[in-house]
Amino acid sequence: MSILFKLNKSRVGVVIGTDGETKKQIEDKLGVEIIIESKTGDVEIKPDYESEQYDPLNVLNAKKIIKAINRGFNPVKAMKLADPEYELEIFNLISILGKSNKKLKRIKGRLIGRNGEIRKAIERFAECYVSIYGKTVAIIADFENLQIARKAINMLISGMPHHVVLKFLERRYSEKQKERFREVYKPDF
Amino acid sequence: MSQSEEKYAIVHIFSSYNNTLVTATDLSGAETFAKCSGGMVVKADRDESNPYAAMQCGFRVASVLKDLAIFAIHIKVRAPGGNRSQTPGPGAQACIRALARSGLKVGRIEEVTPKSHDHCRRKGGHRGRRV
Repeated sequence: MSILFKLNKSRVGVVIGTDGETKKQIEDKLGVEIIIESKTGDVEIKPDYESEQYDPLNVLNAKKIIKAINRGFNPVKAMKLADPEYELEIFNLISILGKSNKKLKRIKGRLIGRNGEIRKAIERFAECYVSIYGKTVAIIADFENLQIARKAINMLISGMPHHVVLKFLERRYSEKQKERFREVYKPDF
Repeated sequence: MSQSEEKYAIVHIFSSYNNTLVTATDLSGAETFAKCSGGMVVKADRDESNPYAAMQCGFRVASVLKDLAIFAIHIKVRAPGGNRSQTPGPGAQACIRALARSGLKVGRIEEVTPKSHDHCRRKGGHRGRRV
């Protein structure tokens, strides 16, 4: 059972790493074999049956990691996806906004903010990683935080003012903190 | 039963952003052994698609399969496909993990999302999907 897909040519080098370091790291950690055709960007992922880490699910995880790197994450952040708690979501902005280049540029600017402020705020309050690259927005987070991050990004795309979105993020964050507090300080009767 | 005569079942997992459906059939796909969905294990509608519900579905199906003396499965994962989302929802991985962890031997995992070569217009109207 192998998976085939294509990489962005400008990201092929990042997936492989210096002297194939990144590729080797993924292969060792997940027990898979990755074959990259660097001229065309074709990738094939195969399970490595002799490896100790072999698990039929790992092929899908490796696919997720490589897709994340392809969508602009650095390999260190993308390796978080080896833990099955974390999930990757990729929005295609073109399917939401249409083909207008001007609109795409404006919305990307709104998502990133001055010096990356808004993106950082989403990353901090929703405890996730956000990457805005080309025509896509990608998020790495666990299931609950993914909902929050997705909603915040949808609010920004639909044109809500930044301060409303920041307030929404803050409120959700404080709710989460309270929940955590309650779990830790449960009175035991 | 000897090892060579191991009986296989196919577990079909359909995972969208709103629900997860799990169906276990024989190899021909005509005879259903067990089925479970997100709505059968959680109360709130919005929780139907989450990984926890998918996990419970996986465990339920696995326990029925074990009662039928089937200890090995192939898995087919599917997203809505066509002109809708091409990637499986959050439940798929959790469900596969639950099936594997409940002691069933997982043979092959296959993705069988219907991919369109060309398709009808996506829903969402003239100005795209307004979120």
